[in-house]
Amino acid sequence: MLLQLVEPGQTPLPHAQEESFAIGIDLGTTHSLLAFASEENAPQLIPLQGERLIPSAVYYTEEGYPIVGKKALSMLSQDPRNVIRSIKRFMHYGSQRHTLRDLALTPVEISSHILAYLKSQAERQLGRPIHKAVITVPAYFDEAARTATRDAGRLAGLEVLRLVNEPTAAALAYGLEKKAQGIYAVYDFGGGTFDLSLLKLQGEVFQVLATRGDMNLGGDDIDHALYQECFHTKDQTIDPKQALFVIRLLKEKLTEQNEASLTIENHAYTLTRQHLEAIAQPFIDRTLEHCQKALEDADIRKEDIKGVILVGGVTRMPLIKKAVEAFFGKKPLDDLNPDEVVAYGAALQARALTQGSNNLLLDVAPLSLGLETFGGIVEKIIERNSPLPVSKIQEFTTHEEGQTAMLLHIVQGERELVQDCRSLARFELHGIPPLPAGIARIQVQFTVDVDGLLTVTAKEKTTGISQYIEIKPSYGLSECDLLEMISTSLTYGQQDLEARLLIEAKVEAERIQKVTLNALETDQDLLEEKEKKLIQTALQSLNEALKTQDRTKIQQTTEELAATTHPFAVKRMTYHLNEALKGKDVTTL
Amino acid sequence: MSSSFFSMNAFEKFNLPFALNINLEDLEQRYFKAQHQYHPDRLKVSKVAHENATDGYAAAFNEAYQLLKDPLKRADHLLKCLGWLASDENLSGAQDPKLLALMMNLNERIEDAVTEKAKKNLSCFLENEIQQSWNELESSIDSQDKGNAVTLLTKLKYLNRLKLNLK
Repeated sequence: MLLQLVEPGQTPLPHAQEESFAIGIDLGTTHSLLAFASEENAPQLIPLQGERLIPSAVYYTEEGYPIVGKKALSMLSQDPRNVIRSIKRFMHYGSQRHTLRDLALTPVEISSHILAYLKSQAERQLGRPIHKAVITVPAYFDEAARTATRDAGRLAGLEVLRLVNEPTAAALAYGLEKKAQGIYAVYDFGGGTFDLSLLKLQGEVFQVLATRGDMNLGGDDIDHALYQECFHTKDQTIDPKQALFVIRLLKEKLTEQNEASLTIENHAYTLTRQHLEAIAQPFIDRTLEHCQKALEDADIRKEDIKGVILVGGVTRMPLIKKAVEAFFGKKPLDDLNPDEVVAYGAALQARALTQGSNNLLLDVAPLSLGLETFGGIVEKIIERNSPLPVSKIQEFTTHEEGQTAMLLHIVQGERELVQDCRSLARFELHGIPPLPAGIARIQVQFTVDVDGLLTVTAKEKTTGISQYIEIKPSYGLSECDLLEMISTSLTYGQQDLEARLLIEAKVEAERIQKVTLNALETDQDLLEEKEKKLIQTALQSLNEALKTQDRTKIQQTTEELAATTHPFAVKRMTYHLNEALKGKDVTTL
Repeated sequence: MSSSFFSMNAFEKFNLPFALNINLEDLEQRYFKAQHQYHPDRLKVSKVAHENATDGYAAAFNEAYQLLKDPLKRADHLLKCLGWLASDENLSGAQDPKLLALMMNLNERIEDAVTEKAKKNLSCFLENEIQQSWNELESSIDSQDKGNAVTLLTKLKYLNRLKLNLK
């Protein structure tokens, strides 16, 4: 196999010890949770400072230091501009920067600050270092958001053993803890995303049959709709971030009450359940459309479904419970807390991946992968709901005589036109042997691994020529950007590759320089004037080069000096050898 | 298993008889068993046992499972394995005049079926037609009737598309 395009983050972090310990992290839009499962026991949450749910909010201090969780939320009242919430919603725009203080941070960095906080707090709580984790993602997260999540874990110093889909994690928890068997629907309505997954639980196997959803349909959307309707016009004085937080608090109160009110800084805010439900209804209708489509995809009737599992805080809304019950014709299950069930599943999978387990998670690709063809039409390569891992080979040929490169554009989505799908990567295939048009046969292999991440490898069949090609990470951050982030956040002083090469070049140059100067000092008598001049000139230009940051120039002048001094070195060797041999008998040598 | 595993057809990968009708539950059990052994999650904890030799096995079993699980894909795969269809051939337009006539007739009936009842009747008709063609396909494979088998597969694919459109 010739060229292997590997996404960043494939190299595991160097922690040989602690091999068999890993935690499960539910990195949520609104809250994050940590759980861990020891050998035979049921998984348990790791509460941090007494809290089971840690708000996924970050506040940045004047020095740019991140404060995570409840304390960050409490800063909303004084300094909302420097608090960020719901960063998970931006994970599929991984390179978009958010300005907080004088920092311009990517969602990957902000998420990594949350993860780093969770990691360090859990380490304190458990009294042991944590290097490995399973992180959950919405089933409908695209490739970009998945890569961004994994990179955030990496930035936080965690080896991400697996990205597990949230509904699959929930089913795993139900299957193992509640001994559920049969076909289950997981209705996962979170702060930012919705997805419906159908799973078959049979013995030790957890097989996802189909998944449908929307990356931009969550509880936050209901909050925004409420904000637009009630707060935006009525009260201009309140900061939108504060308003959205107030709405969330009111919404949570309405789970139990018919009317909720809050007084913040002498402002009274009220919301009725009736009003909330009127606003929420269209969003709920959209979720039910996805439910219907998922059933069609899997060719399953509602009657075949043994139970409906609710996941996500939004599903606490009585209206949603009623709608789900009416749709599926059965009361949804809530034996396990819908806020916590995903974290339990993540912990169980973390245990399975470190200590082994007889359970098997068979997940699917949530979205189709395709290639752009002529006229902006998408040619599907990997169909959605394909079980993972999946690998497909596509053969291409050249269109012009002597063509040596080819551009491939990979998209993700179900639509026919490229412009309606998410662009994943554009990359160039170089090193195609120059042949007449249509002769070259380039085999490109697309592989989606169990984390839902894509790898592309390519091979030219007629000549067997292989060439390394570079794939740009899908969400816009290059490997270089990421390496820079890692070096600045994790290992201070570790420079990127180019800087390291420059330093190495300088060290070598200075070494040669010093050797030459020493030699001149002791043995310049051995040199003719002409030779001496040549060496002096070479030394001079090396000196000049060393004043620049130009690695190539430094290396060149170093080589020139080495070459110029070579005859001198030979002369010196002969001279010193003769000196040493003087007056000595050959036999004593 | 050796590197020749990847050149096996889907039936061979699961060690199943080369037949149009297979026991789907049996296939599923074989699939689960294969994934129990070769799924990357399993290999993660038992690396020593499989070192390198199993790269791509899980994906290959997934692909084979997808081919055999779906009746039409299985039929297509079977005819290709028999050499009755080229491996890159995609059946589309019909050459058989009888089939062509049926298709035209069905297209008209679909356009006319506007009421729920008419749709249901048509759906029943399609269901029967599919079952019948499937049985015919099975016997034409048994009797090595290559031409007929290919026509029947084309017909089945077409009927199936109509069934989906009707939904």
